[in-house]
Amino acid sequence: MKSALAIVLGMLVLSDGARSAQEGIFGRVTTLQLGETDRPSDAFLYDLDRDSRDELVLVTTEDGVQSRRRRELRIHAGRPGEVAFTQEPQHRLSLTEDVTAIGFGDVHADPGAEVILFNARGAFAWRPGAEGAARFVRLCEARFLWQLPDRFGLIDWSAGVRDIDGDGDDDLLIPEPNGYRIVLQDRTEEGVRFDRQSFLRMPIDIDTDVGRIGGRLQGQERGRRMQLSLRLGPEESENSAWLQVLEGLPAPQLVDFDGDGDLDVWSLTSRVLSLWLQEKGGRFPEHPFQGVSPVTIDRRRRFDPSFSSHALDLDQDGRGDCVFLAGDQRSEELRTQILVFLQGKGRGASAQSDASPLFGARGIPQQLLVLAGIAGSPRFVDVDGDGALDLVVTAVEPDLLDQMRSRGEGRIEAEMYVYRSQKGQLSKRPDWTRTIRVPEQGLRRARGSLTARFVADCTGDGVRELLLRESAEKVELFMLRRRGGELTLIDRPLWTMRVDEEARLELVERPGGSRLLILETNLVHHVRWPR
Amino acid sequence: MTHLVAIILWSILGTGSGRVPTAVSDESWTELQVIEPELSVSDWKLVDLDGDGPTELLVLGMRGEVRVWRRRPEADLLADEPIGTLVLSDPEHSAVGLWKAPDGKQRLGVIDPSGLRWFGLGESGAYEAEAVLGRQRRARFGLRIGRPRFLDILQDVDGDGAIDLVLPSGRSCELWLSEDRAPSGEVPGVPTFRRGPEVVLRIGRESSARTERLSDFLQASFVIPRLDLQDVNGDGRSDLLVQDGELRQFHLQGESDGLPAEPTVVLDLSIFRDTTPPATVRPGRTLAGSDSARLEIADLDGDEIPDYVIAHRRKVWVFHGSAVGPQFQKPTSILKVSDDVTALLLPHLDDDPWPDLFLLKVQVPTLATLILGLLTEWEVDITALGYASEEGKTFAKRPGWRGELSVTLPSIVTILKDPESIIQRFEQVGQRFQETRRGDFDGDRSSDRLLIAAEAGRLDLWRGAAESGDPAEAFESLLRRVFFEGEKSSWSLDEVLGLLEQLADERSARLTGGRPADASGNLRDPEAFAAIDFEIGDIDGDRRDELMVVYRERARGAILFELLRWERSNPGDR
Repeated sequence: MKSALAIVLGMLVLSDGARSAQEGIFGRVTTLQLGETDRPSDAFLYDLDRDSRDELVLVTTEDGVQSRRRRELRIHAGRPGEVAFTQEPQHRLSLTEDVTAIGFGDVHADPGAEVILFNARGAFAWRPGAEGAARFVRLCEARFLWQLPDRFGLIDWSAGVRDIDGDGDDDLLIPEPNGYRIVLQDRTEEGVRFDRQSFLRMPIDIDTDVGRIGGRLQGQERGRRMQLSLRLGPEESENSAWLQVLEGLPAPQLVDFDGDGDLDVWSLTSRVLSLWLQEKGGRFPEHPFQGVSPVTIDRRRRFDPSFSSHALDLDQDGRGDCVFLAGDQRSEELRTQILVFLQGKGRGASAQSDASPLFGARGIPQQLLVLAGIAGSPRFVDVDGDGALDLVVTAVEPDLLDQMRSRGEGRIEAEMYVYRSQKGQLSKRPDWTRTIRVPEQGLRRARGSLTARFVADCTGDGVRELLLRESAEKVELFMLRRRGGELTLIDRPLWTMRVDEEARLELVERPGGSRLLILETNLVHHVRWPR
Repeated sequence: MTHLVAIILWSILGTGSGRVPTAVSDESWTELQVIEPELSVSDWKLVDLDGDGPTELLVLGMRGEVRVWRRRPEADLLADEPIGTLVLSDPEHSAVGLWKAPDGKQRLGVIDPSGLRWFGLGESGAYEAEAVLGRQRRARFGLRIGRPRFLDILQDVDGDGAIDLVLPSGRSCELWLSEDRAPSGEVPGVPTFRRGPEVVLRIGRESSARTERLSDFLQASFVIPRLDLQDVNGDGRSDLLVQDGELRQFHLQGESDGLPAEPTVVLDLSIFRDTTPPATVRPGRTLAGSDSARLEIADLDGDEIPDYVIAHRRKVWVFHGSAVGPQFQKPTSILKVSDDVTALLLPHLDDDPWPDLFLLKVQVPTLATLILGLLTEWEVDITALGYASEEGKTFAKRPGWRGELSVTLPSIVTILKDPESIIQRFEQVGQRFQETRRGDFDGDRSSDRLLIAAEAGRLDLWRGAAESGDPAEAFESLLRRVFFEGEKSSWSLDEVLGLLEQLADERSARLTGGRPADASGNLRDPEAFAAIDFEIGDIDGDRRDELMVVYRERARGAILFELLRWERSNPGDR
């Protein structure tokens, strides 16, 4: 009865509510109405049955007493036509307490792909069509980094499911407390095996918490956050913590470093870039190749809001390059440096060697750009459709702050820039700029931070379009076009949709184009635009 | 919240009595011994393992080794080499506890995913692999804690004098309560447990799984709190308080049936709502904290049974506990206060014996104001109200105390350009709040006070009970001075930090009675060695405690133990 009601409600929303909430027919919206007490925690898109239509994979949580909240995994099958997926879940799974993360890949001999679930002790494939114990197949044992579940949803570890050895099968990259475990898939007539494993041990011991929880004033660094706490009470009182476990390691990047056509593993610690170069047969060496990073990530740098580093093949020569964005600590002005290191492209002082093939002996970049203000949200995407990755970055500039203050508006403004690249060289000046307005109220309330993102081309001109959420209650899609060498944005939106001001937005890049998932109190909207 | 109040408080207070005076006598610390274990050390304890008086050094190795350094025969020192053959089979899941058996010897309890095992001392005086005394497979500990650790798995939770087993998981905590007799088949001599209630734990988690950038960091950290045990009905038995979202659950221990699995009383804070709209705040500002109800527990009427004060916005409910336990149906009084509440305390603000009501309203700039103020200083506004207790029954209808303060903080750009300098300043202040230990270092059977300035590499000892003043009274005095008696209403960050330093010095003076240290010593060079723990025990059995300083060598990460003894050049002087 409850399900039937949900279907009716869902169809009503689909046929009426969603369309009235959006302007224009450019976007197709499918809305899923959940039960009264169901809350969407996470939503994913993946073509599990290989019919070229994505399934909606939803993690829901029951509203209510914290300890009794139950998490459920639901698969809504993709379907042809206007409505993107079935309203009633095709499969449901009540998630046990130990499940912490999710990924997707073809990891079992069954037709199609599987949902992969991770817990503290390994990875499992979920076979929803099977019965009893056969519903779950252990893929491998591992000391998965995340051993406690999120209160509401699941950690997205899709990035850890890739064809690492280039044999066409999905493999696993599993972070553990002191390194990365590579688990390769082999398919034979007998089935699927994950026996080939390499463990890439982090070269430095980052577990430095040997000691006691003590002291009355304590500081703990958490990435870019520092927490100071003060313990009051009698001098000999016990600390309020029974147990404290601190585990973490740099996020691994899978990028071909040496241009041999396979993926290598990159890991950046405070002073060193470690590279495990893949060998034949998907093997990795025990000890990584290491290079001194030109930007030391000391405590000052960890608190630098502009800082980020990126591993990518910027010049498209097949070899990995590296870009750093870092606040200029020597300048009186508030500005950000963009340092571009292109493998094999150094000349003179920036020349590289076999010992330092990326950063060179002196750590001098092949290109240095300066951006006024604090940089944020840097991404490398092919905006103009020429095949090369362009740099998209926003910046809050002091001049802009002065203007905002003088106008006395309760809005924050940032400049959004696109630096196009040609043969790995970024334009010296931004090729495109737009002022992005973000209402503070919306920023504070919305859990998702998506404000401005380029989505896949919807108009057929090869150029990406711009998705904006400049007010908490509205999402708009604008057309970007290229005339001659110039990029221009058409002011009138292609598509607009009203959303709850607390809605969370997830942009998903799929082979069929970009998809937008909008998670509201007990609604999930799926938006697709033509391609 | 106590932390927030303390930080704010300390941001504003302005008195102090100077640095700790240093030693003037000929008493000093003498290095007895340095132990540099060959094994990679995970955890340690100084404890009398065999009940003969002198303490031994018990060390857990990263690979699960359990080793004991015993006193050398005919010597005052520990042996250079450890003894023991026990190696824990699952080091990264092993929680270890000690239980003193009736024969005075310490049994070692090890729990991991395979269950609980008990080990006894072998003839060598150490824990041996073959000396398994008992096993309880159903009690399991599944968390990966990275390395073997001593944890408080063995506690007398229900106050019956027998040890219980505390087993947290990722969501809750299983309590295994002591059984009178070992079940058949078990070897006597170690405690056995029956499964008791499972209670929800409020576990702090921090996780990050972003992988888009090379500079992203994967993080999975968590903190498990201790059980909140306190007597809430005055019967002398510990009761269990559990926090589950906005629920507060009270498990009251009965006279004969122990801790009940289901809560005896449940308080749902979500139903306490003041429906009047939130108070106005200065333009560009927002109230700090959430809009949920706040609960503070204290004995308001002096009957030695906790009472309860709940506040939401401008409404305050007072409930008195009784011998029956807490109740939240009939408030003793309901008050309307004059401003929104972002923090609630129950200190003594006047001289009568009853706690008073202290409310704080903290206004912080909105995100927009902060960003617009990137280049300029910004302020946190604090309004404090005090309502006098009326003989422990209710509080006055009008505030008897009122204070308004603001703390001016540097522009965000200033902070962003050089966060290190500000963090260092806070760290310097933190170092002034020195570690402290108690022990009988001179054998006169009275407790001596040790203050340790680890970063400065200094160690000071005050003989006898030098402490003066009550820390709670000192804190309450501070509240009054800062919010209601102070002349200063605007504070800069530098002034805040300066005052924090003064406060640290006041604490040191309180702990030491303000007199010079009787003995001082230097720790190892802090640049090369981080002093990470200080253990106290009587190594040689002469009824005088020794101090064991645990260092981590910064270059290699190796752990070493240094034994120090307080000595004076002429023992006849005192």
